[in-house]
Amino acid sequence: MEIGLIHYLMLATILFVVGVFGIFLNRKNVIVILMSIELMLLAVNINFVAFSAFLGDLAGQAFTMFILTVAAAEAAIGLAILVVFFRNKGSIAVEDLSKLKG
Amino acid sequence: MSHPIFYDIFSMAPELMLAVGSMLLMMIGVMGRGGALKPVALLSVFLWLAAGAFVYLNAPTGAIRVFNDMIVLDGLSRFAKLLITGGSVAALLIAVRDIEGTIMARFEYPVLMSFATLGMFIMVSANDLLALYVGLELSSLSLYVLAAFDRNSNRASEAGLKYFVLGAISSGMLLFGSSLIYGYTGTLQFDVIKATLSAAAVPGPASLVVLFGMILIISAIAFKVSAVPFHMWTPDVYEGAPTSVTAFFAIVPKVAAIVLLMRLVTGPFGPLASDMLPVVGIIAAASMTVGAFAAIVQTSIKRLLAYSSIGNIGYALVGIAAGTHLGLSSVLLYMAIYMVMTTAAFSVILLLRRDGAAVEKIADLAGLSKTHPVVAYALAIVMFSMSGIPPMAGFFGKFAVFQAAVAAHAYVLAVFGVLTSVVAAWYYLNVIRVMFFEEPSEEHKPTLHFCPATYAVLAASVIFLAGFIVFPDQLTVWTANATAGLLN
Repeated sequence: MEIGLIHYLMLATILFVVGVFGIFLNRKNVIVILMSIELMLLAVNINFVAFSAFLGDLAGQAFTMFILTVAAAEAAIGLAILVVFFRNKGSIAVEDLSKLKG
Repeated sequence: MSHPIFYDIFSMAPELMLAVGSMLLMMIGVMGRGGALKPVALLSVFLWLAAGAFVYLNAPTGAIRVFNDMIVLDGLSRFAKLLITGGSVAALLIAVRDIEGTIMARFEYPVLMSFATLGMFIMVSANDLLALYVGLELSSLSLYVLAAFDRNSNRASEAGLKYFVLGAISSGMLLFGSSLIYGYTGTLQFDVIKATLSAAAVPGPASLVVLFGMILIISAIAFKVSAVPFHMWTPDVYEGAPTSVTAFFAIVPKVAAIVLLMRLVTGPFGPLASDMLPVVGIIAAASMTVGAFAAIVQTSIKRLLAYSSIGNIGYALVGIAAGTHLGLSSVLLYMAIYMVMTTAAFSVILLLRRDGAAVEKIADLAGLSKTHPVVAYALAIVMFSMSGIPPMAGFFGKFAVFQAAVAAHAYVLAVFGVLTSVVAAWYYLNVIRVMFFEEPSEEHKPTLHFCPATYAVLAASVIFLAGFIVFPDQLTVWTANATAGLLN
């Protein structure tokens, strides 16, 4: 079987959906949420690279480089905020994100 | 199309000034050790004002596209940048006295605001999905850090974490939508996307891909402006973040995101207007309803203002859903007035102190007219304006938006807007009732901070709100000019 554009897109979509579900169904650990976010962003990268190769246009791969860079910054900031949260609460369980309600 | 590179760099001077200036400020802060907050804050105000002055003086005729058409400079981006500059300056002026003497009194605070301002400048000038993404992320990442800036506070770190997680999901949606649009049109550039989409009009699964991508991008922007159903983070983040940071969140980023939405709706997604504008209309109606009804039961001022901002975004979206030039111009007018109203409301909250922090509960305002009459009357004017009672400025904003909706035959939205603003008036007027007709409780009496900068910002905003009726046309003319070329 020839692996074509549609297979790459399906893979990317599945990974993206896994990432989204990982965020919303996960009730345990905030680190898992950070992993799911990373999964979403990398799924998008597959999409961009596949389209870029298919279209013969480099803009998509340039976009991928930007996503990788921003994702690194985003992970750094997310982990920093998580460390601050852990210092205050002594826990990184999702259920402890509950002080603000109304 | 192709200019000499110096011309491109010159046109981007405000952004370059902000980028280089923010990094210099960071260096100054590091060298100044502990007490660098005040000098860095003062320098950042000057930096933003200089960037704003450059934007004001360098008025483009028509739309200028620079850097391989990635950036567009037109009336809309100019007007938005001036609003962003004014909002950031006001937000920093009212914040400095609030964070002094706390753990937040660090030079990173104005520097982060400066980077967020730079991100928003790029957002409103974006003419390419890549520029959009970079600008949006630059402002969002700075805002996540600011939300958790009070690092010893349980609530602030939780607010920062929630904002970060939900913001990251929204940027994931933005990217996935961008990749679909890129795959269909083969380009990231807004003008080419628009041309491709208006030429194509292919029915079937391929156009479904474009619609899906567009919906994802619109949802991501709806998250940034906190429109229903992507509003869940707003009350929590507003309540948990330090009050001075909440003020910045409420005043500035929404303007940038709404302007970005206007550019997307008129630019790349213009050919899909018939599919998209009903979606924006439904989001607007839902935001107005949630904003009006959920705010009634709130006891915290910051949560009240959060729901009020959700409702106000709903009114602004009514103007976008109208899809006409009148509608777009009314959105800009509405956002400008809304920005001044939030600035004034947060100045009052930051002036009133209880137990060494800004007041939190509506009940803390009881009897304010007797204890601190000047701020009580100022807040009363703001609340009258927010509920849309003439002759305050808020009335003209609402009037312009509903007028645009009626002119575009969107009668349902206009009626919906009027009805929900009646409901919303209840809780705005309730604040006035608490201030003027309830007895002050002895032990909970708030004290007044002495801060000339905050007083100056408050006075200027209240004079604008009350005096708008004297020159109601001027701002309307500006907003009409700023949005003139968008729909062509």
